[in-house]
Amino acid sequence: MQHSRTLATSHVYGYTRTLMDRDLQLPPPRIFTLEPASGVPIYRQLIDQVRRLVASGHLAPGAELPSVREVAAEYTVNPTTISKAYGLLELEGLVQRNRGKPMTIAPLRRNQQALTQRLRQIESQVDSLVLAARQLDLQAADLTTLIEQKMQEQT
Amino acid sequence: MKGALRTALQFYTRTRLQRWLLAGALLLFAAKLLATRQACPCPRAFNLWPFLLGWLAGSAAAMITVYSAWDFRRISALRTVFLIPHSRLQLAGGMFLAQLIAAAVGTGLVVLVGHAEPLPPLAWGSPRGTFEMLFGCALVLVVLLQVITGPSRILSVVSLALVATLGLRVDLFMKPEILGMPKADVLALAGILAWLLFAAWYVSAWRPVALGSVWSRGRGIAAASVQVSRQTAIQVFLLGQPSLLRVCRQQLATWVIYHIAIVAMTAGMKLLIVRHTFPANYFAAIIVLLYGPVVGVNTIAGCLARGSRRLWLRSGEPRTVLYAIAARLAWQSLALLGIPLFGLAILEIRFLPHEGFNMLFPLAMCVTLTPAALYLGLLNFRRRLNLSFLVLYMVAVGALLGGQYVESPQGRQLLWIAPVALVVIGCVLRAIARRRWYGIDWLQFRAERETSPFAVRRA
Amino acid sequence: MKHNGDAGDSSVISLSELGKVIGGKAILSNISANIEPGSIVGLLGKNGAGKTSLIDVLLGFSPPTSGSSRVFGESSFDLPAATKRRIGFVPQQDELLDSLTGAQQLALNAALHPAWNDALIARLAREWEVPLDRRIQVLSGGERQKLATLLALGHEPDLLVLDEPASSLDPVARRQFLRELLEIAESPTRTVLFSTHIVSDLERVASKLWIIRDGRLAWAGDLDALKESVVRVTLLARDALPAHLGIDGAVSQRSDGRRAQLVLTGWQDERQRELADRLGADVTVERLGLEEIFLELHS
Repeated sequence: MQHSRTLATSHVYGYTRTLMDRDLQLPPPRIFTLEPASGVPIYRQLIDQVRRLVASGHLAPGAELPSVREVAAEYTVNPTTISKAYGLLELEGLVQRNRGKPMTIAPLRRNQQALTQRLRQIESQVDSLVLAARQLDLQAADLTTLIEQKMQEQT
Repeated sequence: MKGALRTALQFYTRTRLQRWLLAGALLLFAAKLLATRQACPCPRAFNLWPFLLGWLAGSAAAMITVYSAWDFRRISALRTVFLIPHSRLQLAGGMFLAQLIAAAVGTGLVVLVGHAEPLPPLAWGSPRGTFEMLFGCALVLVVLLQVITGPSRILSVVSLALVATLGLRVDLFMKPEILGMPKADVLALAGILAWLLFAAWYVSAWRPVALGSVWSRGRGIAAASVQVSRQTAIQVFLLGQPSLLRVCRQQLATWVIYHIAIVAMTAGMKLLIVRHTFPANYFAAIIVLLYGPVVGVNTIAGCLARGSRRLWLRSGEPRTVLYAIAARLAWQSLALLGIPLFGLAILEIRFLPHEGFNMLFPLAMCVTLTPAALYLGLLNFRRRLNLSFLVLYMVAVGALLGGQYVESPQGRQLLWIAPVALVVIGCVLRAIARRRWYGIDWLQFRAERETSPFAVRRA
Repeated sequence: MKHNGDAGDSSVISLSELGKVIGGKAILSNISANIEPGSIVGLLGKNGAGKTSLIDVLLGFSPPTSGSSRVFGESSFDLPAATKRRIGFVPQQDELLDSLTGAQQLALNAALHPAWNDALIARLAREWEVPLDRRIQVLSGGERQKLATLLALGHEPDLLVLDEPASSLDPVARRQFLRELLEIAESPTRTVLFSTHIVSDLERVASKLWIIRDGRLAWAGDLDALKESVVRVTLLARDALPAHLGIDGAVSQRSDGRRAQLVLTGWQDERQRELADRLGADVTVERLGLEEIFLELHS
């Protein structure tokens, strides 16, 4: 049995409330953030998020993805939309199915898509960025400096 | 004040049905007065047309008052009325004004057409007399209906008994004066008094229980019997109540209580008040017993019709089988109600005095009326107030009362057409009910949403 | 904007040019759609658009005036007993008997269905906190609705039809109910059709969507396809835009000189480039949630 530590003490209405570390048994954080009320369909949200997580390295090759059932139960969404997302990801080659075991991230391949195709995938985000920049009255030069800065940071 | 006036008018014109009834009654009344003008002025001759038209007009007018009283009941039970301040005062005042207006209109009609001969036993002719008669009668009728269908069973029984026994003392209405005051004045005063008492209770009372609760107040199932047979389950779903026996028992109890109360009052009156001169007459008490099964089976059949929707998917049976089940249950309820009540009535006809009233004809009428009432009830998918049944009922009552006036033997022979006609009507209704059930469209019978006349106007 | 599913003999529900006229008024007109087994179909529409009427005709409570409605291949109006046993229905106005307790009401239902799953009902009654030993008359609206749902689930029907099943439920109860629906629909032989105006529930669990507007089907297809098809486009042009823009599939339009905002259907991503070139404007595309889409369709 773990020995509990006192983290903080506060006085409220004459009572002393002691916060112990065992009060902070938090559940593990969720990998994805799915918003059913968004205009973007759930499967598309999932695909985009898996791509981003893989690109940023949070999901390394060989990492296990939660099963369709688990995701559907966790977020209370229709499992068909989750399996559609996983199916499309498998087609892209981003994930691979293992018989009897959960799906895993496929080993990293040099992205063989043409430059234009890759750029097109990111185009919608660039649109949002440009719109925000316009509203803030920023110039293209400011933006490119910022982008270069960020790209250097991420490597 | 303006609100009460508006309410008063709405009590007679809110629904399309009331407007039709109003128009019909006015037409019939006009026709009746014209017919009286044209008829032979001989004192004792029985003029058919004036009598018929007058009776029809009177029935239509009574139906309007009954419907508006029932409407008043229904509106009072709405939750929104309870929330709106002073709504009860407005409703009560409106009802009072409505009767005032109705009496005024009636008086105006009578005076306008120039029908001045006083018609016994009602002493109308003079404007004041007519107005007071109409006003008093309307008020008393409305209050009586509220009390009879009210939440207090004791009060409803007592009031009905009182009215029945008073009805026996028809000779009271023959005199021009009661207790030293002109009869019309007494009636009007009685009406106003009754109204004040009722309004005092009504404005101060908690929400009046909705109509129908007195008849179908069910205590829950005593033991939790978890294993239920399929047949029982179907019956319960169709009836909407735990068992047919329970429902019939309730109906039986109600009618027998009314009956006993009237009998007791009649006997009491004979003993205490009119010892020597007036023989006890149990006609009213027996009539109540005779009409009990008719109304009872109609109500139960109506419940069955409205519960049919519950069985469509659950039971898996097609519509034809559902009809067979419902019809069988209805006939069972008729047996359960009819055998005790009709049996008791027959015994009483044999053993209790009912001078001057031939009871065989009413007996035959009621017995033949019950199948028709049953099938009319089975056709009552939509409404709680079964208007077609009410019409048939009124026709039967009319034939019954009319029978009392027929003096010639040939006339009496002819009267027996009525029960035969009722049997034929019953068969026709059976065919109609069967056809209707074989093709029920429950979507059409979905209850209409209640619209309160006091709906808040949106800005 | 209709998107017909493929007609198949294995359809759970197949409606073909269904029409219903009551009192001279066309409550439903020309409805054609299919539901395949294993899907959760949401039925969305304004009050009075015809949702409950459609369900009534579909389940055989009412004969269609024109067209046909078939459930499991059988005509709705004359459903045989075996087919009815495969259907579970939760009506909008519950048909509970006030003088009974919850347990007695369940027992009555169980008596009519030979295959009644007592364990499932016991588990759900416990999880959803439905009191079974109190008379139905004293239950709250939410508890009544939960009880009515239990009555429809007990015989494990292949087709579950729910008419506004969650309107009286608090968010916790709604989430529990949705979870149960998803568990039911996991089996590929079981189908769910539920009508609601709580759009967020539909977005979570429905795979297909039927939108009813004035008695007609304004959309019958995938929910995802609908979300991808309807977008809000904001145009910011260099010069004043013409009043009539000539854009296909515009549902609504707001314009003000150089700016215009349109809601379009049948959208494809390539059209963005084409619009920008043709009108000489910046084109911003915004995807709409289901509630927004519904409001725009009814504006």
